[in-house]
Amino acid sequence: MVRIRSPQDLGAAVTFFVIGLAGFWFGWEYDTGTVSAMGPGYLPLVLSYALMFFGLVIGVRALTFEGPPVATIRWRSVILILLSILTFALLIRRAGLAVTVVAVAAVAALASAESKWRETIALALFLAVFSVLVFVYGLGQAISVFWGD
Amino acid sequence: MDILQNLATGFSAALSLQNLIFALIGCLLGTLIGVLPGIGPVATIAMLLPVTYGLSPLAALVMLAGIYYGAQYGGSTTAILVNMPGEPSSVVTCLDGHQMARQGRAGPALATTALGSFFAGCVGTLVVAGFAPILAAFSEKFTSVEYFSLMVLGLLSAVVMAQGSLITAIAMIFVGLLFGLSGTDVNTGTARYTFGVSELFDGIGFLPLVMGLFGLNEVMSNLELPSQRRQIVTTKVTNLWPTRQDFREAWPAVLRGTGLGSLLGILPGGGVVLAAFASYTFEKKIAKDPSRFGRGAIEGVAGPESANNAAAQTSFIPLLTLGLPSNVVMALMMGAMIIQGIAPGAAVMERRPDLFWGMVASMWIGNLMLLVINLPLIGIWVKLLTVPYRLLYPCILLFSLIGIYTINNSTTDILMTALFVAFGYLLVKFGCEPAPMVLGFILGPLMEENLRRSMLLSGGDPMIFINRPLSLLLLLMALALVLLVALPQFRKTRETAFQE
Repeated sequence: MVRIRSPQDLGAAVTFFVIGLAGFWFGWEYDTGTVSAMGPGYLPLVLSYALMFFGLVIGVRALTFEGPPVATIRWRSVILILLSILTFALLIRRAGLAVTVVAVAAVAALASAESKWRETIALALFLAVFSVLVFVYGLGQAISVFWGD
Repeated sequence: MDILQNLATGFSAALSLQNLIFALIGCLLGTLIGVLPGIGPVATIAMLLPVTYGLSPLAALVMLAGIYYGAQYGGSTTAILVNMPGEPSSVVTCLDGHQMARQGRAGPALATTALGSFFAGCVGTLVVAGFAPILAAFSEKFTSVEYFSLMVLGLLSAVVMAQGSLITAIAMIFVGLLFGLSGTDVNTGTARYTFGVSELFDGIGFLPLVMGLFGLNEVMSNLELPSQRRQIVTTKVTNLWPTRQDFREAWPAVLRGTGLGSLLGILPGGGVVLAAFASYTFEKKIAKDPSRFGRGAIEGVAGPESANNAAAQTSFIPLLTLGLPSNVVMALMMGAMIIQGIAPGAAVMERRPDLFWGMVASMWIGNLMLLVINLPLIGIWVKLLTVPYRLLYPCILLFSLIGIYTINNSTTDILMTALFVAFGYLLVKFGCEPAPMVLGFILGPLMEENLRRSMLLSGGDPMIFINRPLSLLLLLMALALVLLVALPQFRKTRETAFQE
């Protein structure tokens, strides 16, 4: 029975192996050329093989030597921060800067258990006014303030 | 007298009113963001990078230098007043600086930091001015073979300062190299790893990668910390000026720290962290009464703070002369230069002396401005420290996103950022430090280019890297570094250094 002795290392091993495999999977058709005249596919393949190799070595180590566990993942903050970034990407073209800022600030605030809703509303409104003033009028960035203009 | 003439060129370029204003804005912004607890210089610079994009190259570099020094200085302020190091190099400042603050001597601690940093900055600028041309002339002998070996050395030296295991750090370099190769291949026009997304034809964006891995990831890790009991010293910082005895004790430490920092900053992989640690250890060792350290010894603040500022300055040397970033901050600087259309290296010095020397001059100007603006503004910085994190992080997040978005007006860049935030979060959980990856990422295309040329030169014989004496020397140095890190004894000291 194989026992995982170092979960952290195993995570790293899988990460490296998967990146190497993806590098190989999407890169094998690029022309490798020869050693003296390397094509665009030469180095990517070498790096991908190396990463798969590193993944295997670290994987073996994770099964043989004791190591630290993976620290607990705080799903709440991870998901909400990622969601707030996606909100930005989704809204900025459609709804303009002012609305986007309020929405992103609101979603982001949920990521922390300490946020208070009154404070968050005030912060979101302040940030909306501030970023419109600084980025649109101050720095002259080409972002619309509201939808449609 | 060459140095004087060169510096004159630089100062005449940097002293234009416009550049002075940008230096001032850079220092202020750098300090403003750097002083916020839990935000280190890397995140600060990454966050403020977009501000410099619209400027002329010199103005952008001047402002970036200001941001860098401001961020460093802001970090020290946080370390002294809140006992929260924003970056590894101010861990040392926390030890005695915060103790001084608790004894009611926050003012002298901050003033010593500012004065010591300024002195170190002056010396560091002179070292850069004197040393850079020599190294640049030396680098003219370099061909692609030597450059390749130099990059191997540079990348592997990043491993020395990375936490965690050796092989993980090396694997991270490879990940960075692979990511760096994405985009259109310059020689053949083949699109690599673009998945048909037109925004990826120019390669993965530098800013989404850095912001995802560092800036926004710091937000994630700060959110995970349990609601911190920050021990802010809120008593008014009234008497700034150190006493006569403080001066007597601090001055020699400043001198020693400056010397040590200037030297360690030049070494690849060295940089500010090593300088600060080395200086603290050194001061403790030669002190008559080492037990005072950790209880508010002024030498423990003066030495490391001077050392890290001197190193901050001289770590520009490998970047400006060889095009080799020695740490993540320098990789950021290099990224900023590339975006401005400047390929850092000896060529810049020859072709755009105003740019090169203007930047060297602006380093000194930046240090002077910090001294002038920061001490009077201490009160404002102290107030900033009391803003709770739950109000800060939405601001950090938003300004970062707006900054990334406005560069290309591209939502793809925002989606890439989200990807790198998630990736960076996983990496941290798996004990992989992202710093070596960023160095690999920025050096990837250059390394491939030099490898291709070398292999073309030798007809595919890899022995060329060993047959050339200079290249062999560089590779041997790289090997020695790796062996050093692998040695059990060094490992132990490295681990304790990180734990402190």
